[in-house]
Amino acid sequence: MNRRKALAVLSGLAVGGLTGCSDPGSPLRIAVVWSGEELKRFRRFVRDYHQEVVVYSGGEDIAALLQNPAGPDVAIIPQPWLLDNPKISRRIQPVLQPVAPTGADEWQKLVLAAPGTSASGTAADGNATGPAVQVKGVWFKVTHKSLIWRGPNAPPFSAGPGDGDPASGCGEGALPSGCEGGWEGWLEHCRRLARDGTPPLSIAAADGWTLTDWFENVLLGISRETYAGLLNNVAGAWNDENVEKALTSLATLWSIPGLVPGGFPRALTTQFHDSILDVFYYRNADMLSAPDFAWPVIKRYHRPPGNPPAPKPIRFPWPCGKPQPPVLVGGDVAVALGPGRASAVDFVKWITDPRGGVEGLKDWAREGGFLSPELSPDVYPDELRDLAREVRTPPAPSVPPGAFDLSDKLTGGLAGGDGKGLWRILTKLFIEVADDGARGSGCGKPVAGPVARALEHLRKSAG
Amino acid sequence: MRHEDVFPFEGARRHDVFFDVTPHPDMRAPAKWHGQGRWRIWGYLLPAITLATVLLVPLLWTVVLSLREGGPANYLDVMTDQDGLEDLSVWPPLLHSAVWLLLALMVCALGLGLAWLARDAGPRQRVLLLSVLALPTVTSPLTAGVAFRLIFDVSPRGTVNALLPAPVLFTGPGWIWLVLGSAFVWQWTGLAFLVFHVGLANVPRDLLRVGRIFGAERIRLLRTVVAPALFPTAALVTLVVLTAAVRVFDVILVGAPGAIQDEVDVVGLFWWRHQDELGRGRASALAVLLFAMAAAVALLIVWRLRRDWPETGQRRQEYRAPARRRPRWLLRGVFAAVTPVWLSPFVVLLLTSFRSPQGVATSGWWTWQEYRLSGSYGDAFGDGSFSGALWATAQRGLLAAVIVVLFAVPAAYALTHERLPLRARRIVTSVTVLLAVLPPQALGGPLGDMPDGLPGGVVTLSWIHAALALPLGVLLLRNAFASVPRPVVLRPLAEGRSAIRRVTTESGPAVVTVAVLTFVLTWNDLVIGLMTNWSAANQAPLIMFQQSRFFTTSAGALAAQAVAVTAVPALLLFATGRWLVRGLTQGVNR
Repeated sequence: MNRRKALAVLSGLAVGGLTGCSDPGSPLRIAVVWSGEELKRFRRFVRDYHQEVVVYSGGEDIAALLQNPAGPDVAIIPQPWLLDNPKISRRIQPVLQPVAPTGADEWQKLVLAAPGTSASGTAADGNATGPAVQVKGVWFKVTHKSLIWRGPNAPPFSAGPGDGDPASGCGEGALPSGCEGGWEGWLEHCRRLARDGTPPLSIAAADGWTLTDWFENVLLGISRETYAGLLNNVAGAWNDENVEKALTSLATLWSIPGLVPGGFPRALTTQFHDSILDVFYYRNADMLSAPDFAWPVIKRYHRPPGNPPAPKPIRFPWPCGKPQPPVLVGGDVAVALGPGRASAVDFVKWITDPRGGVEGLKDWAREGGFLSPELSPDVYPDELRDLAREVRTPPAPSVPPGAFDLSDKLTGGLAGGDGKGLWRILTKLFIEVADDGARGSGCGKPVAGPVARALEHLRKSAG
Repeated sequence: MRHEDVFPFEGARRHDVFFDVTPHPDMRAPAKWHGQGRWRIWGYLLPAITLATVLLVPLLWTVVLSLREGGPANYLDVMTDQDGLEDLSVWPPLLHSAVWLLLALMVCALGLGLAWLARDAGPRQRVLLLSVLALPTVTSPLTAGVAFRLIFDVSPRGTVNALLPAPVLFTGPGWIWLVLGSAFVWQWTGLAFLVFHVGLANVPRDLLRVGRIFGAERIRLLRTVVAPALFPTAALVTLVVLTAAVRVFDVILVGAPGAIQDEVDVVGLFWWRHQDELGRGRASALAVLLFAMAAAVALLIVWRLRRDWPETGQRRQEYRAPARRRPRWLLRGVFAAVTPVWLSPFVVLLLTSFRSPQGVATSGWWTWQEYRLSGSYGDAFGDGSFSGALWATAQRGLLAAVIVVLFAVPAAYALTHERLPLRARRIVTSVTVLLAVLPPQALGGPLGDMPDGLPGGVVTLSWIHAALALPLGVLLLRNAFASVPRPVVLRPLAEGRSAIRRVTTESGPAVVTVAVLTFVLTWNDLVIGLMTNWSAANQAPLIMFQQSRFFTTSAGALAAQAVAVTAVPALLLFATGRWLVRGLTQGVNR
């Protein structure tokens, strides 16, 4: 009868472990998309909250997760448009905020509740004073994505008017004067570095989102209007000639022989963190286009350790003659989901409450890799202070307006993810134009054909 | 000394390896009870049938969905290129799935080869070889993916690259097949080895001797004696490994960098990735096709098995002449080659886990400076979330194991010792075989959008896991129950009592095997976790999967977590190994 005893013990164990889960006073469940260090850091942040909190990482599947009626109580999501998804929006518990996020930037208003929702009761909060406003969620974290980080050995280049030595003969003739610090000047800069034997860039082509960031930055530099058209899903926006221009510009850069260490085969296996290591640890590339949250990884892995590793990141270069640099912004919104748990609303309010989570946010901001629209720029490390200024609500005057990350908005055939949508189209373009690692020479592969194919693909996928 | 005492394989008959999947009537006719009506039989079957509805209802719903939106044209649509851009073409994944099936056949061949080379190994060597080869089989595909990605990483981190004169991009296009393929071979060869080892031990030696005496050629002996004797064994192991190949999923997700993944996409992964773009109708059609593929493989083998099934005679203790002395160097060579190769992924994982996370990200395990006492374990377990997930995963596994045992025992009993009409038995057994190879994707659509959020929490998920493991459990137990000697059950049956208790006690090893298998399958699962989303987010493999997005910088923590996740099934394997071998091959307590 040993077997029966064993079974009894097993079932006892299993049932004993389960009783905790159906408890009515169960912990608040928060779904996020981060993993690794960011997830760990967030867990540390919520430790200060007075109630027990369980944090789950939903990764790329967060949208499906939120549609599940038994889903999380609070979600922190990078796609503010999900809040308009009917399956999700009916679960949202609006939150009353003392100050409306009224920046000049369109993206900051994405969290505003539609007029008329204020009547729906769950969020009514007697303690709020002054002209309060209903929001669907609160910006928890924002990201500045229009940056170039330079490794310790990288020769200087400053985006904007600056010096340059365009002499490769691969561009379209001589640069107009004053354009040396623009996109065209930067292309020449990269060509020169590649010819001298150091790959100027490391590109994390294994992660499709880094490629979409490239595309968005280039397009945003060329035309804000076209970008806005794509973002707002204007019919035929993908047929705009500026889309083709942006793809051509990007393909021209990617086609520089010797641009990335090991050519495209290696780049395809290079993940985001690998590209940071390339520049700051192995030093086999000079520059890197990466968001502000690359900073803690740089700090951790740069070599030799100890000294401040890098100069401030420079702006992502934009074409000559365009007045404003691209400011590509990503962000995560904290949303309280229902039905019924008031503590979910409390948590979302707590995040931005000066007597609540704000101190924790400051700690996180000081470590770098975390920009919050709620905090004063003074709390950030030197290197990130200027960026923080650009993504604040409301933004400081005279700051170029930010545009929200397009790839987080795309749906259907263009929606991102490994091996699909815009990620896949750009990966293909990259493979077709980049060199294969056998150090090529000359001006690189022709880009017209691959760009045309990518464009056709884009338009068909956009429907 | 009976040789069963030396090693349990010796006594196993040739065709009771694993489970008897054929729907043919058992000619050994176990004692049956001829008492009250047939209601009682259905009473035994009812729990299992109820549990099977957890699979059958979503499966049928998938079929309905595939026909409802868009009609049968969905099936044609999904097979033809949709947008002319190859984006949604199912053919490359289909081709890749075919490659995996071929690889599965190669795994079987390798297992047979190793079993042949090791056929006269001593008992100690056998146990050692078996342990080394079987351990990867209970390792999760996720762990295999992590280990092989570490081994084939770029220089200066990758082990293989450190041994080569010029760096090779293993995880890049093309080479990635080598990485994932070797992970698959590593995982499944052990099972093929085990089963063929038993099969070879049961080749009728007297026939071989007679053949030799009469001067038959080697080839002819192989064709007429060895091959037919091995066939049932070969068919079964092929079925299991082919099913594993059809279900390949997690090893690709974690083993290949994102941009490379569509180069090695398989149908199951393609379905998971593209279900939104395909739309409900076509996604469901694809899921049904995937199931049809697995079912076709299973039925083909079962059908062949049924035709070629040899006589089912009484078990007999075969006299075995001492084996001819063969050169020992060959055997030693096999050991010297297989043991280190099969252990190396574990060694790499273990060494990596004891290095600092930064060290793992920037150098290989041979760089001694980065070893720490706490290694990457602090990083992996620091905030308590992973240990919590391990506990939740263990609960799920335990609960699923208990459920499967409780539900499969009566069902298997009804299929062997109760008077079930022949046709009913055939139907039940065939459905069981089909459900045993069911790919979880075929349930994914309906499970993913359960209206009231049912697939939430540990309990519901345990039931789903239990339902998925139930068919295999029933098949294993059924075979064990059928092997219970008649005298054991005659008395209770003659007295009009049920013999279920006696039969179950007699089949202890098989019951333990079913429980352990269910636990391990549930413990290692990533697919169900991904498909039911939220509820599974506190599952250990899912947490590991999320981390693999930043593979390089989380490799240390991943290795530490992989060690923890592997330790549990490994300990279970060693603790119950004796029973497992018996449960898989013989089933009963003698």
